[in-house]
Amino acid sequence: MSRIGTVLIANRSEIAWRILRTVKATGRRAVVVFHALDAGSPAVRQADLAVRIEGPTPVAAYLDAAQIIAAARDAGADAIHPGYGFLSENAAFARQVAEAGMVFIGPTPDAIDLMGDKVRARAFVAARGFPVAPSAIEDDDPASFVARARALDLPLLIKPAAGGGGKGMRIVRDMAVLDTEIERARSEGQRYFGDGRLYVERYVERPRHIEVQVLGDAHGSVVHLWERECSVQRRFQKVIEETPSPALTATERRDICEAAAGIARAVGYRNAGTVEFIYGGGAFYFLEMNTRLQVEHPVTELVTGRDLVAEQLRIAEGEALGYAQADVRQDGHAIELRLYAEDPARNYAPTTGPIARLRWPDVEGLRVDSGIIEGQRVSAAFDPMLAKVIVHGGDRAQAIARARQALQETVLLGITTNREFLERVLADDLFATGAVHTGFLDERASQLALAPPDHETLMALIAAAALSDAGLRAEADAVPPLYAAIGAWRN
Amino acid sequence: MRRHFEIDSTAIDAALMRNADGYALDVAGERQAIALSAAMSDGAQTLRVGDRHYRVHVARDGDETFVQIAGRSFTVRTIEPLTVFAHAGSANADLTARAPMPGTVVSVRIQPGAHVAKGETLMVIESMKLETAITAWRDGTVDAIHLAVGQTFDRDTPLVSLLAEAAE
Amino acid sequence: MRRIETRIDLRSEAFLANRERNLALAAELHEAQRRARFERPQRDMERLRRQNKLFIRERLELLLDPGTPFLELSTLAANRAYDGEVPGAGIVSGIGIVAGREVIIHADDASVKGGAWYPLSVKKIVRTLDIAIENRLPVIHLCDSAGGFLPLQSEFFADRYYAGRIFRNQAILSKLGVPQVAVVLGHCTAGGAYVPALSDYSVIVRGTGAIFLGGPPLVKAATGEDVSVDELGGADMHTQVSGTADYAAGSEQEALAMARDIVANLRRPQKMAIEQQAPEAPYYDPAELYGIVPPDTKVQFDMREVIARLVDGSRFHEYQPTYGTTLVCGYAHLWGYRIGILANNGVLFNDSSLKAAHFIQLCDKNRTPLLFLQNITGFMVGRDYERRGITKDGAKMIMAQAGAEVPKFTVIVSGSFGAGNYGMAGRAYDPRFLFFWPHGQISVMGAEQAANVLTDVKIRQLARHGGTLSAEQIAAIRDPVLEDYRRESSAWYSTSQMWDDGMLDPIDTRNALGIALSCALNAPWGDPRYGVFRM
Repeated sequence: MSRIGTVLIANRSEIAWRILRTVKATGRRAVVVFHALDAGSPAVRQADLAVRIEGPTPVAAYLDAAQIIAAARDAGADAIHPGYGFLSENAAFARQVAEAGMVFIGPTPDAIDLMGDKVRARAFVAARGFPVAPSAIEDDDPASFVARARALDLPLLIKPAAGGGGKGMRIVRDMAVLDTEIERARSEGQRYFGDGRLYVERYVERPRHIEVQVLGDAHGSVVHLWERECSVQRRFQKVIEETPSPALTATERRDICEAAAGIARAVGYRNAGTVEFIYGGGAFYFLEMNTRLQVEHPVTELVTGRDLVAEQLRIAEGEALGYAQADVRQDGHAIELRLYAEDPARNYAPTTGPIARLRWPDVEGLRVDSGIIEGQRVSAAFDPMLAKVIVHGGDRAQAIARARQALQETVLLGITTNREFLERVLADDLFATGAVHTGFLDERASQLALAPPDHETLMALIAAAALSDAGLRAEADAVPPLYAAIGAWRN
Repeated sequence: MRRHFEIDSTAIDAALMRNADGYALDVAGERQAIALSAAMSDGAQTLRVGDRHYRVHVARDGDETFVQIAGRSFTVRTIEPLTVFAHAGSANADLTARAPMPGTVVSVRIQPGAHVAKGETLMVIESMKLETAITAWRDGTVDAIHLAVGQTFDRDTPLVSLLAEAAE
Repeated sequence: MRRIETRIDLRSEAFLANRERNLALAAELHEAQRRARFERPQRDMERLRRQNKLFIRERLELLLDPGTPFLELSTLAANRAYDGEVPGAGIVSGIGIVAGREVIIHADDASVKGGAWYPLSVKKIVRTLDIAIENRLPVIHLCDSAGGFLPLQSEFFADRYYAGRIFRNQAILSKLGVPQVAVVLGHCTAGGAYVPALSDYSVIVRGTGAIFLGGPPLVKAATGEDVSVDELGGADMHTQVSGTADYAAGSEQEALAMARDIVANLRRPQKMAIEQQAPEAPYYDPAELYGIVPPDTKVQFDMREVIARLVDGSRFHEYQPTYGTTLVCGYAHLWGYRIGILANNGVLFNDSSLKAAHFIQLCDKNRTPLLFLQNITGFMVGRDYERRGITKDGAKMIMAQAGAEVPKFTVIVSGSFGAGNYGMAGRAYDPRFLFFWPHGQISVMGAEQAANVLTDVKIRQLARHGGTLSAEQIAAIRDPVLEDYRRESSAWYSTSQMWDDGMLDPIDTRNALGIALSCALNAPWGDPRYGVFRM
């Protein structure tokens, strides 16, 4: 394959910016597509060419394959990088890109298809001797699905067959509500993925979410780039990721990473992917494989010193990996914090508002992948993730300390975010021991809740608000100087 | 001059006053001299409240002031006294369901003019990947549906209004 | 300007004794003010709560700009009238800041006899509006009155300065372009209904506020019509139907906030320009005034020591320091405003009268407001002085003073007797404001002189018929006269009758005069018609 000179980035926000950095750093031309709401975003500002796309909703614009391929063709792009989400795991899109004579930066459509169907993926993985959790799959026999689900031991987890990212997932701890929960999950699956098929599996209590980064080239080589611990979650969505996992022994680490590489090899996987596992009680089960660049890929980059996007581009150009498993080393510890526009005190409800002030701090080992800039407005139209704060340290304690400093010194005004909440989590004693699981945030909710501001802080806040209010100041200034000087005197 | 300040769920009435050489803040009779310096090169300002000096970042957007102080950021909403009174006296306070959080309209279950019973689903919204039903908070007649399916909205956006009840 | 050099020994016995007496007098004044402002029969306060009404003092705090002063006028009006049962004459009057504007407030106090207007209530409202006219001060009326106190109607209805004058003054204010805002917080019945009607803006509280010429009982009696208060004159009727009021408010708090918003939209008047500089506190502590001024009006003291504790930096340019020395004249700054001061240091002689006339003309010519500090027993009497034309010279002083175009302010620091009161801008000469210190006395002559005169008349009458009087009989004639005189010449009686705008704790004088000066500059004043005659 020939060199990729121009890459169209079919994504937005921080990931568009992050891909763009590497595309430009490797001497290529970067083209981005954007919806009008993103016109002022960092990626759009820094792209060599930015093409506006439209849709019935802002999200729909980024899902419009035909429009994006047309834009890529017009821009003379050699390849399309889909980022994560949107069209990244859409095999049809991958095919259309290829048919349009461009390179889809990612795995083959077949690999996407296989891993995109959770039910098929499980069966594939199980058949090749990798561990999967006990389950009932609707497709096996829709008529007996509920009965088979009922036969499993509680608790259960219901998942849409076509799902991902936690959408439509339901935990069932009481068989009495199984039917209604199945109906709800089906409705959400239908709506999000156009597919109401479900499967039910044994839910591991206090599970940890551990995943492994893999890279495969077009010549059959596959390596893993070690694991990532992603157990700190709210509403099935990751909040803090780190590597190495504080949970694994050396043996477990080797086993889980080799299992991941083995699965990728079995698939004939090409490009970057992530194999996700549920880990609990010393055992791990295959969960799913994400056939794309992962949100939390930067922690892997920081400890391995490898630019995953650069690797994706190289692999897409047909280059061989050029290194063996033994060459992939881990140096120190990295943590990623997802900065969300959400209010942890209101059950993580998303928030909207302006980015009235934004200052990233200068902290040793800090990397910020930001999708926002000062002056922008955050709407409810997209995912609430604003930026990722990623920190590298010599060990876990140093990484945590640096991450706390970075969060404290970040200035982000205008919109409620989880910034302080993240800092609270990092400061938590239990987090420091590494004893986290996917229910950690819910379990520690009361310890992690921010105290309401004290009296002095309230006074300071009101003082700051009053003094920065031009109208209010004008009213105070309207008092003639004589009367202001006399003050609240009474005769 | 008096204002109503809202910080999270805390509401405080306070007054900004001039004195001979600056400003003072009065909160329930507690009076302190206050001052806010010009921004330094990094955008930070020094806020003085009585004897305390704070390093703060302050930004404004309409009636909202955003303040970062001691590593935490807050939103302070400022409301004029007349607005407070106008809302307190509004007989229409319970006529409209407002969005509890930003999101998207998934479906609309009723038409304007429809009679609804308390608890009946009027609209389904989606936020945070979860569906939430907006139900009738009392028996009544639907006056207006403010959004269509697929539309996104911010927190506090009106969703559905019921007609006012005839006065007793 | 030179700083006055004090000659007061702060440790002298006289100073300490004066201080003790004057502090006691000030404490007595503040206690009386506290009672007049806050002490009410329980049932009256309960009635207010029942009616969902705020106490007048709460209303004022909501109306005024926080952190600003309020110069309350005639707080102790009627303190020697109506058996002391109508504190403040049932009216609060004062100058303050609303939405950054200088305003004068007339507020009915519904906690006093339901806000009924007594004769002195009417006098207080009229005076409030006179001040508004003279100083072009916007007026805020807080209306909450049951109407005139009918048993005393002959004392407040018919005469020139009686109740009709309230509405006449309102009309004149409007003619002069001075805005008025009425806030109807209770009933405005009969004449009271014209207060909001004659105001430029009126706010009325739903439920408690009402405006009508005759209330429901009167309507029932007159026409047999049954009508509710709300139907007859409630907030919604007047703001939607009759247009008699402009804004309906859901609560008193909202009504007062609306009034503030209205005032915030008033034009800020251009003030008269006078010489001004940055204000400076007096160099000497004003609290020393307590030890300087003897509580006995017969004891002489140096008025320069008083001036030193009122004016900026205690600096004073004394005019003609060696001529007519019983009257101290000169320039100073008070809260930054340049003023001309005339202060008594003894009886007025020919030369001191001429000096006064001359200095008043100078100030009038160079646009300098005048401050009169009274401690005057009168013009000198006797053959020599009459031969030198003391009456003629006094007439010059009165002529110059009465005709001066610049605003005048008077403080009765100690005694104010006889024609000295006239020369020194007594109440009849329309000083913009007149204040009284607590030990001060005012009468046509001193109490003892008056008692002696009356006793002598009696003795001479008896002597013509060959009679004589024993010491006891003389005392029986003399003592009641003395007692009457002492009572009626006290500051307390003066302020009860509103011969002044209120008693002041001496240390409050500087602030009161600062506010008075600031207000006075709102009204334009004319030019003097002649040059300055050297007397």
